[in-house]
Amino acid sequence: MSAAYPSLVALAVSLASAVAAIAGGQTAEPQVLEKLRALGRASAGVTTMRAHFEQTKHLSIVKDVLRSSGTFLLDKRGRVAWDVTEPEPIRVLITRDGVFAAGKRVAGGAGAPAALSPLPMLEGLNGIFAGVSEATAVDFEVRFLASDRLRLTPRSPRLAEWVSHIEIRLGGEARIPIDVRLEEPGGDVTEIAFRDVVVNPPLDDAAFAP
Amino acid sequence: MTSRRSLLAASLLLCAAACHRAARPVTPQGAIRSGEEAAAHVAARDVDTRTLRATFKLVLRRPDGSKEASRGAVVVARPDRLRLQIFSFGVVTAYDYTANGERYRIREPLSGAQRVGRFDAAGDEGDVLGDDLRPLFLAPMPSAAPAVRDGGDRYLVASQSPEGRRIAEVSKRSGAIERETLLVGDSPRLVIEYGDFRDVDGVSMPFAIDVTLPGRGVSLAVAVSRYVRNVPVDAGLFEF
Repeated sequence: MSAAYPSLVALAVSLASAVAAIAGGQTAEPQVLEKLRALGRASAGVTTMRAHFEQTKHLSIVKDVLRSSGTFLLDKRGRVAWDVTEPEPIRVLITRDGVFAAGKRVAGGAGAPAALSPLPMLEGLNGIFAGVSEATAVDFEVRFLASDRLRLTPRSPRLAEWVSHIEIRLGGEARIPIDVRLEEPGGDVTEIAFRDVVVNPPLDDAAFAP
Repeated sequence: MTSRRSLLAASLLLCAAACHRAARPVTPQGAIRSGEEAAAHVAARDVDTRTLRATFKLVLRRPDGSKEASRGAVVVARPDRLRLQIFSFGVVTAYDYTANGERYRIREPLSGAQRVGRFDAAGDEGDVLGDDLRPLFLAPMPSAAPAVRDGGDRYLVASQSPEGRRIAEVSKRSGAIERETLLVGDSPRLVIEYGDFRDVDGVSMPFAIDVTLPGRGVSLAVAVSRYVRNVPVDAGLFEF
């Protein structure tokens, strides 16, 4: 496969999404698009990212919370790795080929990577972690709550089955997400806080190995 | 059914079985002096718990010796509603099961799959319980008076219900139900051991639950982190 092939596929998918959005009359307000363009310019130089993350999930069924933390790695070409260290070590890799989980076994076991079907929720989120832009309005209805806070509502019914709203707080010169809040239709809420963010660290293929 | 699906089914079954105790609390009441007293104790254990919420950590041990840790939550509203969720990768919902009367829904966000059905429709006989987890969480009343025998330091209380035969082992010294075995015919299908009893609103509850599937090489260790008993439960949690 030539190196250009994935880019062409991505372009085709983007164009198809844009055409579908236009055909469906899903356009954002001009002032919203202008703000998104500005944010897109600010984050355009971001190609990779590394951050510590803290996740808190509020469980609606038991009114309790789950917490996890670890390291987040992002390659804007379409690779994301979540190295969860707490509560249990596990690596979750999300690429265009799917979602892979290869947790460090507590004891024994083959430990072979387990290929899972793409996580619908994360399919729609990978792009957001790299920063928002005009393209964000294609997949989401965008509302600015403040200059650094956005509320996104999925346009895709498929994604909306799993995520009802996403709130993002942007930070740093690159205006990338540092706080993300995911609201699920069932009432669960996941808050992700990115800290110690490093923009454009050198990340080779080994950083995204399953 | 693939081995992966079988393992998932076994895992969920084990989880459900482990939480069954969470939904059916034990109330040690001190020394048990007779078989009749042990049988009455087993029969009365569900009476005081109308709703129950629990969160827990579970470690699945596979036949190849590997282990996998997850977390979960369950809420039960008697007589016929329950919701069970299993979380992987830290906080990602991997399995979401709802039963409401005769209807159920299973969602698996990792694959984007969702299945809705009725318990009175034909099920998958290949699974131990198919899609019906009610017998594990919403235990039916025994169909006959229990049989009790002396097991040395414990009483063995055997009861029959549509799900099969269940033998509860009641400690003579503490009154705690320390072990239960679910049998189909004469074959044990599940063995559940309870430990680390702590007081929850005046009721002693097990915080350590070990479940094994005899002959299948799969076991599950459940560490309950929190119980909440008899608080109002939003009916919307069970709607779909």
